[in-house]
Amino acid sequence: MTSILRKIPALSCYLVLFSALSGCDNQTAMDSPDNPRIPENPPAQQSPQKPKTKQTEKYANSSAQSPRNNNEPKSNIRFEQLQQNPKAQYQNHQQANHHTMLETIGGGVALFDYDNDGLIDMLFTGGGQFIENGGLLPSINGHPPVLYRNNGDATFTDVTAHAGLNVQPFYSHGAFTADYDNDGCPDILITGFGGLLLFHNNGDGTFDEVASDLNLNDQAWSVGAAWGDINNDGILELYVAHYIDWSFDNHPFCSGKNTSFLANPNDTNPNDTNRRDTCSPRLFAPLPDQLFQFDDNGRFVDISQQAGIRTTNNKQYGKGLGVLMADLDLDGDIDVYVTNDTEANFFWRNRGDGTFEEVAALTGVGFDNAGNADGSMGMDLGDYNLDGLPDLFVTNFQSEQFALYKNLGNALFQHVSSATGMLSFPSSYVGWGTVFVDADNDGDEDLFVANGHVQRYPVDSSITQLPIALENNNGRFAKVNHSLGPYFTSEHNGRGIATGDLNNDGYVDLAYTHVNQNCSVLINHTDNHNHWITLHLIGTQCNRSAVGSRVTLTTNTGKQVRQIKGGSSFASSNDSRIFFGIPENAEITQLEIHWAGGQTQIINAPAPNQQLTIIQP
Amino acid sequence: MRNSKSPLNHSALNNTLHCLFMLCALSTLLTLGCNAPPDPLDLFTQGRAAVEQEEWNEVRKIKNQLKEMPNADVETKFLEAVLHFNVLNYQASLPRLLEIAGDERIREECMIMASRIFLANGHTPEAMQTLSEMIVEFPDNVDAHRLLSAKYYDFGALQLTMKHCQRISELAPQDPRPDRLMGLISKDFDKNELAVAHYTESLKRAPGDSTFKQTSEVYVELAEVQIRLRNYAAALASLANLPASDMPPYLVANARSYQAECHLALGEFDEAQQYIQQAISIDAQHEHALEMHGTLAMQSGQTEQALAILQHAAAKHPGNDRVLFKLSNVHRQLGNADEAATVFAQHEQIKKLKIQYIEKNVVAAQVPSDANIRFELGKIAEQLYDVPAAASWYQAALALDPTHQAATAALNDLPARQQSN
Repeated sequence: MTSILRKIPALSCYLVLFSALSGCDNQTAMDSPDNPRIPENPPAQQSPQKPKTKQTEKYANSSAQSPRNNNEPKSNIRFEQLQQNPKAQYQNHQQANHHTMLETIGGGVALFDYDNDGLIDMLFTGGGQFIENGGLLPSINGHPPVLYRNNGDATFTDVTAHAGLNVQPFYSHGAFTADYDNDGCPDILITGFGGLLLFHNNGDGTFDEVASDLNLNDQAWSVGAAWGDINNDGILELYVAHYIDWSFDNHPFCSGKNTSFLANPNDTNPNDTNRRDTCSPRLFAPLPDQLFQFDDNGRFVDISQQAGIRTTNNKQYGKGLGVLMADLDLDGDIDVYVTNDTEANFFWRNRGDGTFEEVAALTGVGFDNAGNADGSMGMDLGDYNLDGLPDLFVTNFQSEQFALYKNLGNALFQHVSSATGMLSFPSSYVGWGTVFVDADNDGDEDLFVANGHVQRYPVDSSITQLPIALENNNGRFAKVNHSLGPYFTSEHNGRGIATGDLNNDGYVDLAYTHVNQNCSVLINHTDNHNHWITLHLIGTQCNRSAVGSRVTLTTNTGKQVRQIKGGSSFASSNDSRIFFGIPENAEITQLEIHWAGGQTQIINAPAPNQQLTIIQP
Repeated sequence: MRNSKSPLNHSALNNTLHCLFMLCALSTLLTLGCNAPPDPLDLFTQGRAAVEQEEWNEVRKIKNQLKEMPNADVETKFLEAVLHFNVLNYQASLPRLLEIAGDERIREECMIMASRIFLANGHTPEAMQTLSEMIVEFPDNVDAHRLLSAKYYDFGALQLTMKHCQRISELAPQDPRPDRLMGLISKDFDKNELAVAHYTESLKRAPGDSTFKQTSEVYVELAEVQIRLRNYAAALASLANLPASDMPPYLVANARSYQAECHLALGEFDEAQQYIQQAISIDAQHEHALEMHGTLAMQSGQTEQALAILQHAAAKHPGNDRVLFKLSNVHRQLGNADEAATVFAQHEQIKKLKIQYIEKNVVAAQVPSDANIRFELGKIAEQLYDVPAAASWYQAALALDPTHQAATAALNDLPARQQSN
């Protein structure tokens, strides 16, 4: 063979080619925002300390230990699926064989205490279906969410109908909880294709859908959203990320043909030209995101333009999937980070006056380590290296790296995936929801990722995938799936994850959503002698949900910092309490609370293994 | 391909050859019963065996004997054509081949030799057409598949290259080459699992073929794919198979830089540093080693050092968008906002070109006869500072369309432009 071995640049960074090669032919009524309702005679501190080990046993299946994988380090973190695991199942109706972009996204889960009984409840979004229209374009309907009330005995009761949530006019994706009207009861926002639903919590176990009443009439396709107070006035704003301009009117045929000359050897029918797959998002135009604020009448107004997040410059339109609202640069105001699919991510840095400047490229969180825009889905904020600065973790598409952006201070970040073990597992994963959580209460945050493919005929990958559990060992992560329990050694078509302490034992539990498979609720059975402290912050001067507040826990061995975030993960909402793990021999010397808006509160030497409810002074 | 018959049109020659054979047969009959001169058919068989053995004096002797026989014109011309072909006298060989190629006994050999002559003379379309017809008549001719796959690869018609390589792999089950090339193409198109399968097959076959000298290259290419799949342990194992000596320096440097990348990803910075130094000691301007060096410095928090390394890397490899991006990040971290913006803009420009390059590569892979797209690929390759690739694309355009003036000019001016850059 005398031919010149002409070098073509590696294509992994350019998904457009992936499409081409795979044959794609294309390819409230508020009570009073100014006077938030605070429960009468709230306890300054309460200590519902509960023993961990016995109670959690009721929550778990007894299942055989999976075989150890010798390539993975051993971990003592252990999760077991809830014995009476809820039957909630997100349905994308792929069996209709329309191969729509809608089917790729999936749904989420919200962990929140809707009835204020001190027990975390769960809400799962339902998805949707296509209704054939006799030769016309199919219509798209939604499946209602499912709300489960925590009975406190390791069982949950479906209370959807009683709560008035049995409503879903559109195909749904995400669930985002916050107390938008500061009335002490968490409300629910549902995103999806064709609208938003806002369920106002009436405080009696029921909800009213109030989106239209409150002028929340956004009809564009939304997946991610987040609540945060951008101007520190004590009232939450709402950021809604919009995805792409797909519809049945813009629904090209994308071939699932695997190209004859580069077919996967395991593909039994690679050349079937009639074989259809979902398209790449690259074929569709991005939609602009929206930022909503309450006006003086308690109705939403779109402030996207005046806040600077929407301009006529198309560069600032993304294909948004995930939203995080938190103080990324620690300058005392809420910033917004948006994961965009196949486009550079957004870092909307708050100028301090509630207006924003997009600085992702300038700050190092827009691209991967080679300057390419990833297919980004989920994200979370945590302090993986315990330097007090919030770092960003972003999940991405197959062949891309999950991105860990280390905060260098001064609003500068560095992509450190290779140095932190993020490349120690194969590149075949398509990552979605993700959470930083100190699963073993050893004082550092571990990472969990839900994975699953969007294509029916993926190349070099599979539709169902293992979730990934990464244990933090001094700032470097190691995949430890095989120690953690059966869920982590079986494949799922994962999407959302949320964290919360379902049994209030101080060890944080996980809830996963899957596409067309039942959700999985995993109870933390980690058996060690570490300690914990859980904080429930209630804002009085700041927003009642205390989004944007930051807590520094100081022990005799070091410091840990947590923020109350708006959004994060993928299409999901975490238990809004703050969880700290404390190594066995460490003693808490101080808690320092930086309330959103700037007020600082010090609590000296609180006892471990308790939940504190702290009302902003 | 042009829509005409090849110069070795079978049916056009059939009548002539039929007459020739009739005359031969008559002549043979007339000489029967005489002094039993050697049978021309036997002699011809001996001649072909001598060709097979590359015993050229014997071939020449038999050819001369046949020439004296009145009924051995085809056989004589065949051996003459072979002899001329062997000494690269294509001008003398080709007419003879064209004249006798209708003979079923030798048609296959004539066609392959003629194809080689067409290729050697730069008559690529004729060669491709002859070879294309040949694999219809002789679908198991491995040489025809080899020539076609090589030429299609040169044209960037990778779809067809893969097709013929697959056939070669079946016809020559001991040959490690076709799977190596399929591995390379799969790697270039990021079909990494497929690339691993082909490289593994090539390596399985390599020990049985003493003429295959590229085993080390295959191990290095396999490691590159395994790195993309983040199977670092496998990549290191592949590289551990490389011989301790007798490897070309460029390959050693490549291997060391990949070993560095594996250790960097595994968090083993000291080992990464050692391998980077080894690569750079062989080639101080090694592109991947310099990129790894800069990355390691960044990941180690040695920002000033990273700046110096990446500036050097960017100067030597201005078409490397990854290096430019990292350099812009280092500038940003050091507070050099203007420099960061400038380098970032360069990065964006290169990235844009690479996307165009890739998109056109895909088109070229599927459209084997389009000279223009190959010319355009050459222009982009030049903008990406990849002069060898540019030259290769211009040559491919000219092979498909020798009258392509823009490609001719671009190829002629390339050395001057390279120098001015």
